[in-house]
This record gives sequence, C-alpha cells and structure tokens, in this order.
Amino acid sequence: ELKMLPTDSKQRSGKEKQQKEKQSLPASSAQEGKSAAQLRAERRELQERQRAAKLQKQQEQKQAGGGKGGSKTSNPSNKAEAGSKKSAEQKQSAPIPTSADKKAQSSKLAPPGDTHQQQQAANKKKSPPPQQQQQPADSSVKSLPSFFRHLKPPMDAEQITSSVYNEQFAQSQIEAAFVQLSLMVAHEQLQGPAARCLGLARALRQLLCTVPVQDLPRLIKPKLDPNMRLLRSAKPPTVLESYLEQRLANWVQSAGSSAENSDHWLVDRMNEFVIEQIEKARVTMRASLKSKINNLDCIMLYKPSSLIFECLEDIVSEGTKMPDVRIILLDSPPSWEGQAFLRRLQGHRLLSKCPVRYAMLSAAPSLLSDTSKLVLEGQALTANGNVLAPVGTAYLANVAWSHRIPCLVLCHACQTWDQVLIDSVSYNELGRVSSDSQLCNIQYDLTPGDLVTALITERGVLPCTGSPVPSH
Amino acid sequence: MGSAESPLEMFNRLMGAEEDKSAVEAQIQTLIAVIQQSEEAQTVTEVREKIVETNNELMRSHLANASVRSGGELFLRYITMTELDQPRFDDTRRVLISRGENFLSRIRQSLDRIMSMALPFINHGTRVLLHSRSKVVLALLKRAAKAQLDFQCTVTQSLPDKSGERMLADLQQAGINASLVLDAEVGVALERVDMVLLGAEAVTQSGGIVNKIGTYTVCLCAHALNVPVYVLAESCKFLRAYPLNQADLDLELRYPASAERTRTKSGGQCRSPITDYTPPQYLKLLFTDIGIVPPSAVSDELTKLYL
Repeated sequence: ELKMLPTDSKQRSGKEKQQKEKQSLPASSAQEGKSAAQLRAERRELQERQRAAKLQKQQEQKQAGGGKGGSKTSNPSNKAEAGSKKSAEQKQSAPIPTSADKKAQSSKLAPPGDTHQQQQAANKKKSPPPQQQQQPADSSVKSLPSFFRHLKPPMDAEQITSSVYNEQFAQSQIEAAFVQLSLMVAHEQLQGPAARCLGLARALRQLLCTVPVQDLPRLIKPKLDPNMRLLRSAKPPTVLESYLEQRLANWVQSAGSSAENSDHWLVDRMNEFVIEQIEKARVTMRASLKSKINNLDCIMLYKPSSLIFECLEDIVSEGTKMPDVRIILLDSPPSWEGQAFLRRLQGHRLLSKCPVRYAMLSAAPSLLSDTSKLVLEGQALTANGNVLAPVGTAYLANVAWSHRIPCLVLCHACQTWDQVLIDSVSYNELGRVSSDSQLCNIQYDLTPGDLVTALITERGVLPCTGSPVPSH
Repeated sequence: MGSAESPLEMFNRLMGAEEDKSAVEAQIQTLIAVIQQSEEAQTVTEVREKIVETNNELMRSHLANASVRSGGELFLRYITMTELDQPRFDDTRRVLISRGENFLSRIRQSLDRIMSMALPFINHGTRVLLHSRSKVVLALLKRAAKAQLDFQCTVTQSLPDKSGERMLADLQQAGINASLVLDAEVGVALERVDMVLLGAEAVTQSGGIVNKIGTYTVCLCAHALNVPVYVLAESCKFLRAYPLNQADLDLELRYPASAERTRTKSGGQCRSPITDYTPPQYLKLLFTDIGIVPPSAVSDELTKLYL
C-alpha cells in the first residue's frame, strides 16, 4: 500500500479547482463535424483563455493578501473527495461530464485508435525537455539562480489537467490511475524513495488490466507512452521508477508467444518485482539496521521514512526490557516532514516512551557530540559512488564526518544508478512553492561516498565504494 | 589426536609445538581430526554442528586470535561446497576430510603467494616501519634479506606484551638492520620511513583491519604524514563483520576471553583492549593470496570467498 504522509501542500483549495473547471467548455460540442486541426486550434484557444483567467486570478489573490494559508488543512480531505468522485465517474458511459471533475476522463471517452508513436522517454534518466505547451506558472522561476535554470519548474493541478486534455485530444488514452498518480506526485504527496515506485506499479497494474493478453507486446508501448509522458511532466522519474520501467520493457521484449503465458503474466511479474525488490528488501534492511543499533545508542535521523520507523518498532518491541535508545530528529523547511514522523512516534505505544529530541537541521553541530550514529535514507547511488539524497543530507554527512560520527545510509540495491554525478546541480528536482514565494525549493543533493561509513542494502552492509548490482 | 585429547588441548599442543605456528592452520588441523573422530555423527548437519561447537571452544584458547573466527567459517563453507551425496556416510566423511586437507594445503601456500606479490615493494634503501610482531611480515623481510636487499626496519615496542621486542630479536637474527622505538615515538619515527608494513588478525568487510592495539594510532599518524600503509593478510582472515567504529568492534575480537583471564590473574584491573580496528581510509593496499586489493575491493572479494 502507498504510504502517504500528510504534508503541508502548497496547492490551492479544492473549491478553486472546481471553480476553474466550471469555466471551461465541455468538449462534446466541439467533436462533431470539425476536422482534427480545427479542433486542436479551438482547444488551444480555450487553454489560452484559461491561462489568462488564472493569471488574473493570481493577481487578484496577491492583492487580497493571499487566502491560501488557511486552506492547507482542508486539502487532504478535498483530495480524497475528488478521488472518490473520479472513480465514480469512470463508470459512466455518457460522453463527457460537464461539471466538476474533468480529471476523471477514462479511456472510454476518447475513440480507440492508433496513437502517434513517440520515443520511449522512459529510458532517459534525465528530466525530459519541457513541453512547449506548459509554461512555468510561478514567478519563482525568474528568481532561480542561473545554475538551476535547466531544472523543470514544478507543475500544478491545472497544468496536469491541460496535459491530460492535450493527450486525449491527440487521441491517446490516459488511465485515470495515471492522472491520479501524476497529481499526487506533483503535489508531493508521495514521500519516501519507494512510494513513487509503488504508486507507479499500482497505476501500471490498472493499465495492464485493460490490455488483452494476446495484444500485449504490440499494444503495451503505445498504451504506456502517453501515460508515462504525463507522469514525467509532473516530476522527473526516480531511480526506482526508471528501474521498474526498464524491467517492464525487458519482460515484454523477452516474452515468448502469448500462448505460453497465463492471462496475467505481466501483472504477476510486476507483483513479484514489488514483493522481491521492495517489500522483502525492506525487511532485510530493517534487520541489518537493527543489528547496527546497540543499546544506549543515540540515533540522529533526518527525513526518515516508514522504513526507519518500522526498524525502530522492531528494536523497542524486542524482548521484555526496552533497549535504551534515544532519537534526535532533525527537520528542515519548507516541507517539515519530520513533524509527521514525530507524531507517528508519539502515537506509538512503545516508541512514545523513547526520548526524542526534535531540532532544526542547522542545530546539528551542537547535537552531534551526543550522537552515536547518523541514519539517513538515500534516493539513489550514482555510478561513481556518491549518494543522491534529500536536500540537507550532504551537509549533515559532512558535519557528522567532522565529528567522527558513523553515517549509515539505507538504500535498495535497485536504487543503483548508472549515471555519474559529481555535483548536486546537474541533476535535481524543484519542489513546489506557493506562488508568492521566491523560494528555490531544491529537492536533492549529492553526498560524496567517502563520507558514508556504511551502506545498508538488502545485500548486506557494504562500503559506499562498491555498489550492489541488482540482478536482472 | 588421542582419544582423551579434547580439541582445545590439541589446538594448544599444535600451537606450542611449532614456532610461529599459524592459528588458522592449527585450527584446521584440529577440525579435520574432529571430523575423523566423530563416528557418532551420521549426517552432514551433525558434522557441521560439531565443527561450530569446536570453533567456539577454540576461540576461548589463550593462543587463539581473531583469525580463528574467519578461518572456521571459511573452512565450513569450503568443505560443504561439493557433491556430498554419497551412498554411505563414511564416504561423505572422506569427501569432507579430503576437502579439508585441500583447504589446509591452500592455507599453507598462501604465505608464499603473499611474499611473491609483496617482495617487489621492498628495494635497496627502503625504510620500513613495523608494528608489533607479525609472522607474515617477518617471513617477507627474511625473504628480502635473503635476496640481498639492503633495507632498514623500525619496530614499535608494542605494549603491553612487548611483542615488538621479540620481533626485533628475530629480525636481528636474520641479519636485518632493525631498531626499536617506543609506541609513543611513532610520530617521530614516521619522518624517517618510506612505508608501514602491517600484518592483520582479521580483515573486515569494510576493508579495514583488526590488529594489535596501537595499529590504529600508527595508521592515523601515517595518513597524516602521507606515509603509505600496506597490509599483508591471508584470505582466510577475511571476516564477515562490519565495524562502524572502535566501539562497534565485537567484544570477542577486542578482548579474547583468555586475555581477561591472564590479566585478572596478575591482579591488574587493566581494561584495555588488545586489538583495535583501523578503518579502510587509512590503508593503501592489502596483499593477499587472492591478489593485491585496495580496501574498497575487499567487500567484493569477501563476497566471492564466502559464496
């Protein structure tokens, strides 16, 4: 299951979104009796209108002093509502819903047919060149330092919706699951290295169910392409996602004749992948991490995910006497993910008895004298032995090194990347910012491998120079 | 092995019988004898249990060191990694024993292999710093002396057992130009040397080594003064452990049980460990019988060995 932690999302309130949808014209009237080119032109016109309206709205809001602050807490519940609405509307066979959720376009709406074949962008590991029709929404782009200008600014819901429209209009079918996933990714609701990969697996499963088995090798690529393009436009892919895509392509390619395969062979393979490479790997990694944490240890954590939480659970629930483990939890703006983790700790029966210190990242040097070890989670291992991890990790690893504190990094074996990175600039992601903020919300940074004492993978505890090669 | 002799006694006897006997060699000989004598064991699992039991016993000997742990594990893996399905268990036992003897002969050859690889590193005028007493390093230097190479050695005294003095005597007996320095003098002595040569009691998965106390200090100073540190270690010393720092080193490796016993006997309340862990960033190269490896490659080699 996806592990979604509530975040302070910078999205607009649900009400505003729905308002926007009501303004746009239903597409049904445009479909009869006009050529494709004309329809496309009309569509583009509509988009321009929408964009102008949005800009106007932004200016109005700035003048009103920004009414976005209070609406953040209502967003998760609105999202849930929107999600349930989407699934309800999928079942409708009526042409187009005129109100609320245009996002719920299911594959039944667009006429089935061939789609234009495009290069599988999935195999590229860098962020794709920005599509012409999406313009950066925020003024924050102009405030980006010049060396980050090559990074794609984050997309929001309206832009994703318009991409969906574009794709649909170009007669490709977008699965609702992928739309939902893209929205979640764009709004940064999927935390942790594995969450996005699991989301992708789930969306793929839904997609694969719509393709009949015998047509699979022929149809899978054209079906997958527009969906993946949409997902890519939300955010560049993580290593795990790229890995899953690659494997999918391999499986389809190496598949024999459809006669020897069962009905759900591809879905089975994917489930197997998820179980082996992600879920079982987590169990092994938890055990390895537990073996490295001793009694009376003080562990420093930064941006921990559920993996570390489960490991802490293992530690405190073992035996009758609770080992004396203390935690220092560091956190940083703008997303303050540590707060959710803190709440989880405090809500747990045994872990709430564990002394926890919560501090800002910049307080690390003064807290390190008390620490036994630093536990971090990596996003990817580059080919030259560096670790790509959430921003702030490199700083922390450096400080820990200077204080001679061992630094442990948790990483799946399939998070090994064949990309060589020497700095945090050439590959990165921009996170969401509120439109009146000039924050450059960089998501990742690069930790040099020699600052890492040990890498904990499902293959065992390894030095950071030797990268574990996943089996193919 | 006589019927009354326990494995521990046999081990101690073998260690005492020969000067500079390798602990792993003695251990393997003991284990082979244990397999031979274990008539009541009728399955491979029972033999394996017996071996594990014996290893634990041997670790408690005062003549054992950290290499006994890795040697035992590797032995077990080596002898069982073959076709063991024979009609009668006695045949299986014979297969196990012959594999064991194979392993033993490989260990005996490892010293020669290391020496042939390390010898080119010693030339005329080389000045070497040694720490404590290492059998492998001694053998290498004796070979170099025989090859008429003109080099100098500086040996640390290596408290608390002053094993460095014993090393000095052995070197001087071989006609090598050697001098003794205090442990505290290491920083000063490093100015006058070209390289540091060390043995190891165990090589860990991180690429670091476990060796006589004082090794970490020597390596730290050498690193600060840009003096390369070379380690000579047989592959049977590759241990599946990953210490993160000194505190994370296994108690069993840091304080062999017997060490505690002898110390408390003499009445001293000394709680100093007798080994320490040197992290891989302070080592330049490791000369092993499976090749010359940089510390970063140890993890891969170890995986290959234990597979």
